[in-house]
Amino acid sequence: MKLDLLLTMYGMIYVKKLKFISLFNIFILAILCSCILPVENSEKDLYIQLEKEIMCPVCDGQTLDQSQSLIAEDMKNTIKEKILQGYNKEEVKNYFIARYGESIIAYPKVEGFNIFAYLIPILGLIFSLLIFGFYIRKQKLG
Amino acid sequence: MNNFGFYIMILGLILSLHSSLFFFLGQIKNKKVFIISAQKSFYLVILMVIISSFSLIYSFLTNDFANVYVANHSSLDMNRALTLVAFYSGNEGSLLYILLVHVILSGIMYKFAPNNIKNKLNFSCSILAVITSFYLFVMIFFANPFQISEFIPNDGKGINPLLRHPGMYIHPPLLMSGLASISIPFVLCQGSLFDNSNSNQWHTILRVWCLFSWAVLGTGLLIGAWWAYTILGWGGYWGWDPIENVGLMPWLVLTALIHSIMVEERRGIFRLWNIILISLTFVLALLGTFINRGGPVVSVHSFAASTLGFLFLIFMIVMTFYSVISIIYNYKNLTNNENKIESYLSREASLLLNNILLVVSSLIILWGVIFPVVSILFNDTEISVSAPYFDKTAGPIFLFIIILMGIGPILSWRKTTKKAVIIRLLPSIIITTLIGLYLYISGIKEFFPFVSFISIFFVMTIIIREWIGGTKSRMSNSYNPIPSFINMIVSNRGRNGGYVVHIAILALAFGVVGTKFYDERLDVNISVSEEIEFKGYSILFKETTQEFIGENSITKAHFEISKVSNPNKINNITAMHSYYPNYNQISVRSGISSTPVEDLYIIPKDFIDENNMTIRVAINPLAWWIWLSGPILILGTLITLWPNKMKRN
Repeated sequence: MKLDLLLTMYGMIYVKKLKFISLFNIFILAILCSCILPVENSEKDLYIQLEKEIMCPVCDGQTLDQSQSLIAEDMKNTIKEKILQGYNKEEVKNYFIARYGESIIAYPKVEGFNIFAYLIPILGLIFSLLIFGFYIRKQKLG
Repeated sequence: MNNFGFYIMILGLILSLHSSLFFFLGQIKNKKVFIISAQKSFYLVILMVIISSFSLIYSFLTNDFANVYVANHSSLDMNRALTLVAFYSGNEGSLLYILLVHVILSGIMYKFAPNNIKNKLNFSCSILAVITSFYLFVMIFFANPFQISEFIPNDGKGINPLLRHPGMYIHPPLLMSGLASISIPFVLCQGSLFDNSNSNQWHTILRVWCLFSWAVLGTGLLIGAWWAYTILGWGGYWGWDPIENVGLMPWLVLTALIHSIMVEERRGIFRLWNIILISLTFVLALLGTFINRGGPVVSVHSFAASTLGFLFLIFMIVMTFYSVISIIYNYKNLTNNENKIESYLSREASLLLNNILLVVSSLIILWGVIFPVVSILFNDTEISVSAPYFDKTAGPIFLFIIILMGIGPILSWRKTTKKAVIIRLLPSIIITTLIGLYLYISGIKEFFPFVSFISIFFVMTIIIREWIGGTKSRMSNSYNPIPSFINMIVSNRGRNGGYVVHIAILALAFGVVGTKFYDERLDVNISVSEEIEFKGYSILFKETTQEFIGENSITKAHFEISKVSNPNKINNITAMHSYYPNYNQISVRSGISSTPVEDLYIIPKDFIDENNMTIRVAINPLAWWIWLSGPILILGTLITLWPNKMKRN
C-alpha cells in the first residue's frame, strides 16, 4: 500500500499549490485514510472474518459465508480446525492458497500485477477530482 | 400455437425493420408519408410482441411440453400463479420479456410525448426500432422461445426452486425492466440533439423518464437484496456478485444524471456532460445484458446464461461507437453556452462533485468486475474479486457521497457565502456533535462506522431543519403544523421529493453500516427442547416437521425465541430447508425475527436427524432499516413525479 500512499500525498501537495478550498483537501485526506485504515473489523471473530474472505471454489463467485454447498461447509470446518490448531489469519489463507490457488482469496492481494486493481481506482479518483478542481477554476476565471 | 408465436415474431421483425428504416429516411428526406408509415408499423410491432408473449403464456397454461422452453421451465404440479415467473425464468423467455417491456415503454413514450417534441423524435424512434429488431433477430435465429422438440415429455422439468418466492414476481422483472427502460432516456437525449431551440420540455420529459428508470432499477435491486436476505439463507443481502454489480453501475450513473439534469434545467450548463452520462448509462445497461447472457465472468445469477454473449457484445460495441460518434458530431452544439460555474460553494459545483463521485464509484465497480479477466489476459493468473475488494474501494466513496448529500442541497445556485453556509449548518453541527459524543460513549469507536453514523445523522438533521424552517414560515396562516407541513412539501415537489429519497438512502446506509460492522454469528449444534443463549436472546428448539409437496421434501424447524431480559414475550420463528430432486438443489429459508434495533436470524445448516441439527444464529443490527428504505424511496419518487396541475394550467 506504500505506493498508493505516496501518490495520494503527491496529489495533496499538488492540490495545495492550487489553493483550492479546504473541503477539497479534506476529501483527499479522507481518501488517504480509507487506503490506510483496514475496513475489516479486527475485533470480530477470526473465523467470521476468514469465511468472508475465502471463496467457495465451486459456487460461481460466492464467498464461503454466502454458500451452502457441501464443499463450502467442509472448508468452513477446516478453517475452524486450523484456528484451533493455532494458525493465524495469514496462515489459514496460505493453507487454502496452497491447495486451491490464488483465486481462493476473495480479493486481489496487494502485490505484483494485482496492485493495479487498487491503483487504478485511487488514481482515477484523484485524477477526476483534479479535473473537477481545474474545471471550476477555469470557469471562475473565464 | 408454438408456430403461431414464432411467425408472429418474424412478422414483428419485418415491421420493426421497416419502421426503423422509414423513420430514418423520413427524417433525412423530410417526407411525411414515410414517417406516417413508420409510425404505423412502430405501433404494430407492439401488438406483435404482445401476441407472441401471450402465445407463450398460453403454452405454459396448457402445459404444452412440446415446447422445449415450457418443458424446461414448468411442470404439471407447478403452481399456476408461478406461470409469470416461469415466463422469464430462462434465457429465451427473459429475452421476450425484456422486448415486451421495451416495446411497451417505447410506445408509451412516443404516444404521450408533447407534439412539438414528437416531430423531433423520428431519429429516436428509429434507434428504438433497431433495438427491437435486434432482440427479435436474436430470438428468431438463436434463442427461440417457441422451439419445438420431436420428443414430447410427459412432465416438465419444473421451475428453478430458487425462484419460488414472492420477491421473484417483482425482483427480476423490475431489474430487467429497469435495464430495458434506459434506452428511452437515451434516445430522447439523442432526439434533443436535433432540436436547437433547447426548449424546457426536453428537460421535463427526460427527467421523468430518467426518474422512472432510476426508481424501477433501484426498487428491483432492493427487492433482490430482500430476496437474498430471506431466501438465500446466508445472513447477507448484497454479495457484490457480477450480476448485482452490473445492475448497480447504471443505477449509480443514473443517480448522477437525475441530479445533473437539474443543473441543465436551471442554468443551461452541463449539456454535454448529461449526454455523456446517459450514453454511459445505456452502454453499462447493455454491458449488464451482455454479462448476464454468457459474459466472461462467473456469477451465481446464471439462470439466463447462454452462449449468446458474443451477439450482445457486438451490439454493445456498435451502440458505444454510435454514442461516441454522436457526441463528437454534436460537440459544438453542446458546449456553447454563456453561463459559468461561479464558485465552489454553489449548488452547481456540489452537484458536479456528486456526479464525479457517483461515476467514479460506478467505474471502480466496473474495474472490479472485469479485473479477473484482465488478470488472466495480462498476468495469466486466476484471481477472485469479491465483497472485500468492493467494500474497501467503493465503500469510502459512498460515504463521501452521503456527506455531500447533506451539504449540496443547502448551497444556493451560482454562489453562497461561507458565512451563510455555516449559519445554516450550525444547528446540525451542534446536534451531530452531541450524537457523536453519545455514540462514542456507548462504544462505537471504530473509525469507519463512527464516521458513517455521524454523517448519516448530520444529513438527517439538515433535512429536518430545512423542513422545520419551511413549515414555520407557512405557520403564519394556520396554527396547525400538519397542514403547513403538507403545504410546504407540495409547494416544491421536486425538492422535497428529493429530500424524501435522500432519507431513504440514509436509512439504507444506516442499515448497511449496522449489518456490515456489528453483525454477530454463532454456529451451534442443537437438539430438540434444548435452549441456548446468544447475545441476550434465548433460543429454544421446539421440534422439526416434514412435509412433502410432489417429489419435493420440506423440513421445518420451529424455534421459540425470547429476550433474556423479558422471558415472557415469546416469538415463534420457523426455519425451512427444502430439497428439489428434479434440480438436485436445496433451498434454505431462514427464520427471522425483525425489530428496528436488530434482526435475529436463524439459518438451518444441517438436519442431522429428527432431533438434532446444526444452526447458525446471526444477529444483524439495523437490517430493518434497509427494507424500510424501499417504500420511502418509492414515496419520494412519486412525490417528485406527481404531475403538477398548477403548472400545466
